Amino acid sequence: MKTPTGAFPADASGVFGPRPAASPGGRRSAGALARGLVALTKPRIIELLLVTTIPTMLLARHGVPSIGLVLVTLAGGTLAAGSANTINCYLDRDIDAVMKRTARRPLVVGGQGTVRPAEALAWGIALGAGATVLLGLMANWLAASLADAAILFYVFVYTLLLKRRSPSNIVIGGAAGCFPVLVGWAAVTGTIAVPAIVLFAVIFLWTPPHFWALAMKFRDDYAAAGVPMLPVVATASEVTRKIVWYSYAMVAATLALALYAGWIYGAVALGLGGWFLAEAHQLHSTVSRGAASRAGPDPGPRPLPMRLFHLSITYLTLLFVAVAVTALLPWGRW
Amino acid sequence: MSEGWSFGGSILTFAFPMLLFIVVAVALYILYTKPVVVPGHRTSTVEHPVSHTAIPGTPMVTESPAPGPGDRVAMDAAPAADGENAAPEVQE
Repeated sequence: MKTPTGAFPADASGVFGPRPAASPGGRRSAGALARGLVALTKPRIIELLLVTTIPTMLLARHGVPSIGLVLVTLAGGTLAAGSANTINCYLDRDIDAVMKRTARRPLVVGGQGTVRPAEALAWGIALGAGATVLLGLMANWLAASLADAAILFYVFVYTLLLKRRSPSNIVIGGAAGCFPVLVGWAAVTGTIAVPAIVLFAVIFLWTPPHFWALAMKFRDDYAAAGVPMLPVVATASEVTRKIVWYSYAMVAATLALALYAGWIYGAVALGLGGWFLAEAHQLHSTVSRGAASRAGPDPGPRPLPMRLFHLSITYLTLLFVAVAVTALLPWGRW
Repeated sequence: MSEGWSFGGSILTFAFPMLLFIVVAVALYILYTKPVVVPGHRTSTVEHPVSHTAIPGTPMVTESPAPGPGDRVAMDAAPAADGENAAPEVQE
C-alpha cells in the first residue's frame, strides 16, 4: 500500500507531489487556479451535507431560527466540509491518479493539474481555520468544535487510518458526514440533544448503503488503487446483504425520530423507508440470483447498484424535507 | 471470500461499527446534553423582548429603559421554554 505521499518524491522546494500542468508560458491563470481550488472542496458532496443542516436547525427550533444564524452555520459548514475534502484530495492524490473516477481532480497530473499540493494543503487548513472562527464567533464554540472534530475525523480516522486498510473504512469513517446535523443542532440550541443523535444515526446508517452501491460500480477502480472497499474484498451478494442490514437499521433510526418530529414525519419516513428497503432487497435478490447461476471465482454480477446510489440521495433529501416541513407545521405532533 | 470471511466481515463491517456508534452516541449524550457542562455555553437571550399592553386601570410604573444585554434580572423575567420559542441565538 502506498503511503499518502509515497508516490511522489519531494522536489527541490521540498514540496511533495507532481508539478501542476501549466498553461503555455508556464503560468496559470488566476481563474484556473480558483476553479481548481473550488473543485478540491468537492462542492457536490458539500451540497448534500448542507441539505441535512437546515432541516436539523428547523427541528431544533421547532420553527425558523434567525436567518443570520442559518447563513453563518451554512457558511461554516461549507468551509469545514471544504477543508476536509481538500485535505483528503491532498492525501489521496496518489490513488486519485489511479482511479478513473477521480483522475481529473486538480491535484492529479494528467487531469486538470492546476493546483500544487502545498497550495492545496494550505487551502484546506485555511478553510478549516475559517470555519472554526466563523462558527465560534458567530454561532457558538460547541458548533465550531464539532465542525473541527468532523475535519479531524475525516482526515485522520477515515483518510489516513482506515481508507487503505479496512473494509469498514466507509462505515466508521462515514461518521464524519454525520457531523453537520450536530453542528446545526448545536448552533441553534448550544447543546446536543437526543433528536440530534438520532439524526446522526440516520446518516451514519445511510452512508454504507449509499457508498457501497457506488463502490460496487467502481469496484475495479478501487481494486486498482488498492483500497479495500467492501465490494473489493467481498462477494457482491455479501455486499448487498450488508446493504440490506444497514438499510433496516437506517429505517428503524428514521422511525425513532418520529417520537420527536411527530406522526406526519413518521408516516413519510415509513413510506420512504419502505421504498428504500424494496430497492435494497431488489438489488440483493438480483445479485444473489446472478451469483447462484454462475460458477467460478467471478464475484457475480453488479447490476443496479447505481440505481440504489441515486435513490439513496433522493431518499435522504426527501427525508430531510419531511423533517423541515413537519418542524414548521403547527400540528402533526403526538 | 469464504464463509469465514463472511462471519469475520460481518463483525468488522457491521457489529463493530454499530458498537462504536453506540459508544460515541452515549458519550455525546453524556457530555453535551446538559448546557452547564458545554464549554462556552451561554444561556439564550431574548433578541426582541415581548412587549405587553397595560391593563386599563392598572397603575403604570414609570417607564424604564429596555433591558441591556447584561441585565440578568430582565432576562430571567422572560424565560423561554427549553429549546422552544426561545429567541434566535446569534451571539456576537
